[in-house]
Amino acid sequence: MTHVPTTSRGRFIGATAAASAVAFGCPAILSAQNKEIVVGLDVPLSGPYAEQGKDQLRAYNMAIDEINKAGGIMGQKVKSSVGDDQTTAGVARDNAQRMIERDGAVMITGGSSTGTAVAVSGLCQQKGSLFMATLTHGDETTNQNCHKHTFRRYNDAYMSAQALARTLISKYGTGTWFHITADYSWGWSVHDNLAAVVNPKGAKEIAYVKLKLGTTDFSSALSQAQAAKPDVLVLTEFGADMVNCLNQAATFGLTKTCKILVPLVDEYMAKGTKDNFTNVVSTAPFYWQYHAKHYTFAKKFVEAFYDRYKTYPSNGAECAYVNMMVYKLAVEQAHSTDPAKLIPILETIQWNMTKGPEHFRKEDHQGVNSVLVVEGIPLADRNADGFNFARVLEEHNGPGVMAPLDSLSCKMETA
Amino acid sequence: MVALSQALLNGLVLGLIYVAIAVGLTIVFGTLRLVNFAHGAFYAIGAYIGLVVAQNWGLGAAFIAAPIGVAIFAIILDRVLLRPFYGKDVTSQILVTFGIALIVEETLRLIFGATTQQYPALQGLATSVAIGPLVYPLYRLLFAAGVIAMLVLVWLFMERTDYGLIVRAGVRDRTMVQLLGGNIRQASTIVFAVGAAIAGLVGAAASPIYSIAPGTGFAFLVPSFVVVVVGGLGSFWGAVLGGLLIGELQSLTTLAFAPAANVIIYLCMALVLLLRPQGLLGESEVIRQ
Amino acid sequence: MNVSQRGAGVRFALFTLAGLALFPFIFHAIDGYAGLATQIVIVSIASIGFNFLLGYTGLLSYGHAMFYGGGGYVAALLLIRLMPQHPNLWLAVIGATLAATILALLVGALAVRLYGIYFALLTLAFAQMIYFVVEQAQDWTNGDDGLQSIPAALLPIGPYSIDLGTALPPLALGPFGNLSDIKLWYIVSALALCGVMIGMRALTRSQFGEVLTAIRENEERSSLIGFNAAAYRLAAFAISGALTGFAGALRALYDGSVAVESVGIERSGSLVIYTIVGGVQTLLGPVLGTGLIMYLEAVLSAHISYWRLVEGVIFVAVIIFLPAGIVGTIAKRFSGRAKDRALLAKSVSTGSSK
Repeated sequence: MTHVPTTSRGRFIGATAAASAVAFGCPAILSAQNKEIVVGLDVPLSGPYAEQGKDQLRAYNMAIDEINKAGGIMGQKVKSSVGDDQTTAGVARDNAQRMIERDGAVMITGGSSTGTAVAVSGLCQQKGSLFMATLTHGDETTNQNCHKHTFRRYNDAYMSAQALARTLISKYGTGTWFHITADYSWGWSVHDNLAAVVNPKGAKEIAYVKLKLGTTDFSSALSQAQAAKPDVLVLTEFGADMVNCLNQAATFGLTKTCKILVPLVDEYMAKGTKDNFTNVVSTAPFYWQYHAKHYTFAKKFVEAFYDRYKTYPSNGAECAYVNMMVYKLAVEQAHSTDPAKLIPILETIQWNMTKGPEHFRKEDHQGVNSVLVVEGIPLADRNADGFNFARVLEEHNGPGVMAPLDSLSCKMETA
Repeated sequence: MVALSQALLNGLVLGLIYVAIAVGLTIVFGTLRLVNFAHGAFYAIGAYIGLVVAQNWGLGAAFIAAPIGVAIFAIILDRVLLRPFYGKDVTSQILVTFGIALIVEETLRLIFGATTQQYPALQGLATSVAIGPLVYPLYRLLFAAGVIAMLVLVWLFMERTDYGLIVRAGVRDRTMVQLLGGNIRQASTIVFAVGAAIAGLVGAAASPIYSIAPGTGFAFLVPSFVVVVVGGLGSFWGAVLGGLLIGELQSLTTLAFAPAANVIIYLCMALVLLLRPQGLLGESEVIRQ
Repeated sequence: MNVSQRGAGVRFALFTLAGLALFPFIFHAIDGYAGLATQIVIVSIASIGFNFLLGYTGLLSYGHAMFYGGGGYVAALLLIRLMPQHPNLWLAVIGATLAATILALLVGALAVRLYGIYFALLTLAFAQMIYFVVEQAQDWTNGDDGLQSIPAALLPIGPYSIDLGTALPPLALGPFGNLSDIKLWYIVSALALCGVMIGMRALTRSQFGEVLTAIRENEERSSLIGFNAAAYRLAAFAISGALTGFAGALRALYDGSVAVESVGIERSGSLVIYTIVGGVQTLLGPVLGTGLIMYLEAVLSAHISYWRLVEGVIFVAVIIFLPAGIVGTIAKRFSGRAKDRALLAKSVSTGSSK
């Protein structure tokens, strides 16, 4: 026999029904017309790449202020929603989801590692939101894990490896190479690309040591390198990891005994390694001192950044800034923030800002722009802030170093 | 051969850090019956105090300021928060000390930022020395020597002082010591402070090698628990033996088959817990809750 | 079970269902969003599983992430490797839960002989081993980057294959958001949580639950009476692991991705925090704790950078001042008052205080 409802239960049900009726039946408050464009800034503010993330944030804020001061995009103000991705894929993903679902972001940008970029890229594709990746260097972002909604302007590992190899091959091609690599998609990407270029030319790879992202103790790998006495030591590490690694390498005497390559560098890493970065060869998509000298737009950007923050912009900051500006350009051309309309525009748009003429490649959404090969100069020759840390060995034009289309495994969605 | 020797030295350095942290941890458990998940916080606080002092007054001053600062913090922590938890059920202890560790880590992040900080350059110490065919960083060797010296002092404290005597007796039979009139309270506080100070000093001394971020303390704490278990909860020599063993094991495995390096130390921990829970040198009565 | 007890059970079920139905809308009004609501509901299942071990069996496990993340990875791998063309939600989730249960039985068989700190450390050891294996088995797990782009699982019911990403029809609800914020995922997860809560309630009130409590309180006496403490603990450990693995699988499939942090020490720690703050030994406690902390994490983190400090302070404050957790303390107050009222009513009706 079923239990007769008690009055308390009945009252409870009644109350719930009444509340629901009120909630549903209430005249729906029309949501205020969207007078803002919300952009999600998913950047590392903690973890090994935190310095890079903070600099990106500075550039984003500067770009957004500039845009808003000039009237916004299509008359609408740009508002940002910021999240710390902790240099972790899962957190980056959750941040992006929050920005899209709760804050109504129509575009997500930022980035720290290729791991986070791939995670956010997948989410944005799922949600139908645009993702303009900033600091991601691994091939995956526009190759194996490419997505229709993702655009990546930053150089990829293939481009850097090509540039590095071409500049150095005559000197070190047939030497012995020792690789110390961050053990995730970016590290593997860089190593594979470098090996693919130099090994056929006679370089002998004597070791490929992989260490977890966020490692602080490189002594085991460096000991092995020490014992092996290679001609070239490749430290495929970034951010705080690279700083630790190179500084520890110096204590092992390695900066004096072999040529060190750091496949990708930025101003903060050079600053953290001080004199240990002398004569280290590296690549960067942007170097403020060089580009300010050769491109007017870059000069304006660098000066505005310095005026505002009293520090020079790193290459991640430049990428962040240009991403915002290109987005603005594309939205104005498409007259809409709807990705369906934006994507075709972004696939064909061209712009000339900090580095000369640039565009995105239609097939994989990879940015086609130049790669610099740089070499560290002694600390004594740098300024007090340490940001003018290198001499430029060579500037390689974008089209010349791109991964060939038939080598790509990118299978892009149709929408 | 050279690679092996270097791996052994690396293991020694790493092992000594574990020993220094584990010694404090194990002594505190032995005397106060306190499982202290916040012990890594002592390392971190010492490292940051050392950072600030080193930036202004040099490394030597840092090595003095760090242990003192941490000892003071430990005494305050003991008086204010932890007293009620001594001898209480282990779950509450783990939980409250874990919470304290969280608070300390986040406070350090708030004060010093989340980015990894480098200690000021070591000047003349940042070179390497040649030992036969082996070339090894000088600072790491000095560090190892320093930690060994410190451990000798701690051992003397334990063996030759009255406090140490009370502590060692208290590990075996707390009640009896109290009945005999030993001031176990005071001795315990001092022991707690000493254990913390060791961790703090090592934090400052190791950071020129590993640099410091808010999470570094906890990152060193977890393997230290492995050391304490392997050596034996409550045993000083157990901590020493365990620390060196685990450090070398990690280093040699990294050389032989790197992917297994982290797995193997936890495997060790599991094996010890299952086969000989009191650890290599621990007392078997200790495991009865 | 007598009539009034069954009534209480039905009341409980309806109360839970109503709460879960209203939750996302109220949540929206306080700056939450439906996606987070779904995640909270899913993780609550894991917290309930964890609480069964800690609160009712008295065992603190510091490695529950091995079930949570393990369940997630198994579910993801089943979909990616075995069913890429026909992703089936049932199979993935059931497979993952089974795997978690087996893992729990294996680990539990070894662990339940230990006590206190040794038990906690052993679970930590196993969890760390699994963490590093997952991290290193890059061909399977993609290492630090995790498995992204898990195919969206479909739920086959009868002849239909339902895509759980489908949203409800739009209906604006003012400050409570829009009906279309809710995806079918939320409904499925909410039903799962409701089922788990009803089941857990029955379990803790059953003889099995009572024996567990007896063992927790006084093991020696229970063994003298004839209960095999280790066997009961093992069963509890298995149930706990299964629930946590189930939740981990759901989460991985909902997110569409799983990363190595889900097996890590921070995930184990967060389950501990959620449960303690909410209230150990209560049914609603883990759910409340999960919701509260996850909400704070998501909302606070956007406004202040030191939100984890706030979380730590709340945690320590609860341990020191509210050892029964938030729900536990409220429950004690109410039951205390109820007892007084009952006593008073009795003394009035019988004219004596006997």
